[in-house]
Amino acid sequence: MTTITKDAGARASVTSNPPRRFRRFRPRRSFWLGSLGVVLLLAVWEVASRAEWINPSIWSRPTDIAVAAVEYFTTGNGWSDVRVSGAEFLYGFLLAAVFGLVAGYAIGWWRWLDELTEPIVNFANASPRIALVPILITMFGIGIASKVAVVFLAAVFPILLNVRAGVRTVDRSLVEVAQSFKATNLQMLRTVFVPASIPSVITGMRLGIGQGLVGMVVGELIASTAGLGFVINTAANQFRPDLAFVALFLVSGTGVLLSSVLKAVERRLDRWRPPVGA
Amino acid sequence: MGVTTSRRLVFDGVGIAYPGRDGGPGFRAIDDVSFSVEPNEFCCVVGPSGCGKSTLLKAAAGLLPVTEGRILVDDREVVEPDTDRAVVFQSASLLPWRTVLHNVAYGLELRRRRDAIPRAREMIELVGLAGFEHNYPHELSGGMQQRVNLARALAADPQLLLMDEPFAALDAQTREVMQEELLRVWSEMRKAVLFITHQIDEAVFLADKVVVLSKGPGTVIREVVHVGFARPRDERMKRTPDFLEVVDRIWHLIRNG
Repeated sequence: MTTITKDAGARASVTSNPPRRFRRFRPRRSFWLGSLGVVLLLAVWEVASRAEWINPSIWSRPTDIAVAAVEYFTTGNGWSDVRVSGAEFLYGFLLAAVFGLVAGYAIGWWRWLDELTEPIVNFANASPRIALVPILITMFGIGIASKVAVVFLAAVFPILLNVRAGVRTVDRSLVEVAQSFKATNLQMLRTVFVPASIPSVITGMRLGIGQGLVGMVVGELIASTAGLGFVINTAANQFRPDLAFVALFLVSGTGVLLSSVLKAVERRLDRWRPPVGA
Repeated sequence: MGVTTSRRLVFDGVGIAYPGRDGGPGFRAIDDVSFSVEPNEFCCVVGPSGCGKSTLLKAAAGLLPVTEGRILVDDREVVEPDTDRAVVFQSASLLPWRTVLHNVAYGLELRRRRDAIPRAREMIELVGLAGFEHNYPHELSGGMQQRVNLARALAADPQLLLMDEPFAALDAQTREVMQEELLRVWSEMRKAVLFITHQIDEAVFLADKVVVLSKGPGTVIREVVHVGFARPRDERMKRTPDFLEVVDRIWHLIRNG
């Protein structure tokens, strides 16, 4: 019975939950320092360009880029390019996410299916998907369909491979617990495999977003009539580096934004995880 | 507490071999083991490390097939896990994404029992963890995690409790507290218990009967030692000459293989 009092003491430290205040403090500092880094970089760029240490007609400068951005979205094709690229990425990525999740769980679950598909998956994953763009364009034309295909192929493998790895590395002892309680296959999947694999799923999605955006831009660079990659290409050809940078920053900004959204989702789903490291 | 009655667990000429690699000769973990755990009996299994104690328990749980003989619960042969048995695992093996309450309710939830949550609360209280229902496993100490492990098995209302060295990873003081707690809980439930341990004093303290296994591989039973000490038992019993004599006897049995 002595443990009850010991436990009560332990409980006080458990429920008072000290890490929360600490956690709220850290992002604040990292946010300000990170912003400072960005401002410093932009300032150096601006000064170097105005002092002509670097050629302004090649390197442009932040203030010109800002002006170009306003122009692009008021009198230019900004919104329609974003819509085109956005649709390409969204459809391609959603297809990749659905297929990658289903296939990843399936090959993680059934060993024979993994053995059946492993050489194909490895080969496809090792091949540079960007090299497929010309072939995909002959298959699907220079419209949105070919870019959806590129985004899909670029994003699907990181998702699929991470989900498979997540399923494979599930703690065997937890599987035994579920078995000992006579869990059905569906219960096993729902109560053990899915929650255990969430971190790998999120990691796969994050990598998939990065790869998908690359696929989208490269697809548009090679052959297209609209979209952010198209703008980068034409702007560079017309010596409009400011406009090219606008399109480039839109792509990178999207990547950062989606990545942080996923991070927030992960934190929400992973509240149970002990706070380790950063 | 439970309305269910205890069952009898019988090992009848049980042999267990792990299949060898590439169809080669397998590894014979257990050769020929026969004993029974009577209804309401607390039976401990001890033996030198590597003798296949945990293998026996996994087979009784239905998690591992036997290659010879049979394991019976009453008169039904064990072929798979079933609701008449529940396992308390060596590492607490709690689902880290579930709170204490939902870990304890887990077995009942899988059976879609409506009373899963109220029953889980009852078991949490029984093992002395009231107030921790909404904590996650990583927030608990090792001893508390094992209490959850025990409560999870008890909540499933088994007739047979299979415990696989549940206190092995705990520090000495926590282990002694947990032993007494287990006896207290068991005296309220009175289920048949098969308890695997490598600690002889733990076995003698807890058990009505201690099954002493030989060295592996090809493990057989060296002897079955009946422990007649009166219950309820407490910590002081461990310092009596009678207790030490039984421990000493088992120690010699194990040492001489």
